[in-house]
Amino acid sequence: MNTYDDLVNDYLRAVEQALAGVPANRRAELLADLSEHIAAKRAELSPDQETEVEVRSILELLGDPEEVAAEAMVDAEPPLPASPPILIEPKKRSAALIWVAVTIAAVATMCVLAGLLGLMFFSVSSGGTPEATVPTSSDSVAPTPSPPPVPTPS
Amino acid sequence: MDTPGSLSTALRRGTLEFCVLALMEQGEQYGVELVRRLGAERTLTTSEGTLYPLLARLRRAGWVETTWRESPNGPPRRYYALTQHGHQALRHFREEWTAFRDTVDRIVGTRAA
Repeated sequence: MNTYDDLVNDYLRAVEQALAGVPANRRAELLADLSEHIAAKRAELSPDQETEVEVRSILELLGDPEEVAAEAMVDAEPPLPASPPILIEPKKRSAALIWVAVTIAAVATMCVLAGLLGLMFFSVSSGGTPEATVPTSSDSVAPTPSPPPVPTPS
Repeated sequence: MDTPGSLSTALRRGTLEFCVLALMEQGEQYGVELVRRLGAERTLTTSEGTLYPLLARLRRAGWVETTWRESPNGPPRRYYALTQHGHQALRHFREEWTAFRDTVDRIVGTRAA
């Protein structure tokens, strides 16, 4: 807006120089964040009020360009806890529980089916009357690896 | 560990970001205001500017998200809010921190009376 722009630009240039070695997109991101911050703070001052002291104080609060850049270097090396194990854990646990439940349900269903088939096979092969199957069913299912006594409707 | 400053730097590492998350916990925060508040906490930060790389890190981690809003005076404002992951991370930190703090206090002898 005025002569103080030079102060701001000098500051941003100093940060940019200190950011050598940081990937270009990160560098651009930080510079954008800093210039937004400066613009927002300058906008809080009414334009006719803005003094060099105030602009300098905005920059001083932002801190030493080297120090600000150093903070951006810290995470330039490893991509931080982008996928922290803590966050995945609860989800994984519930997913595992669901799989266990599904497996149990599938096994139980198969056991019941096997039992029913065995029962049907027995009653057909023995030629028994419907009444005959009922009392014999409990001990006659033995040959098939039967499930625990499941209340079979009918 | 040789200069007095390096101890506070080491202590901040890993804790400051959760202080930032905690400030957003009650609702979205205007970025510049957030930085102003934290920058004033001299035990936590060295300057306002060093908070921007940290905020960028939180965005990349998916712990915070930002929204631009028009401002009555001046440029559009960027607001920060916690994501679901950010809330989870803060909860997890609280558990870890209390256990950590209790142990250090007990061993170092700084437990509050």
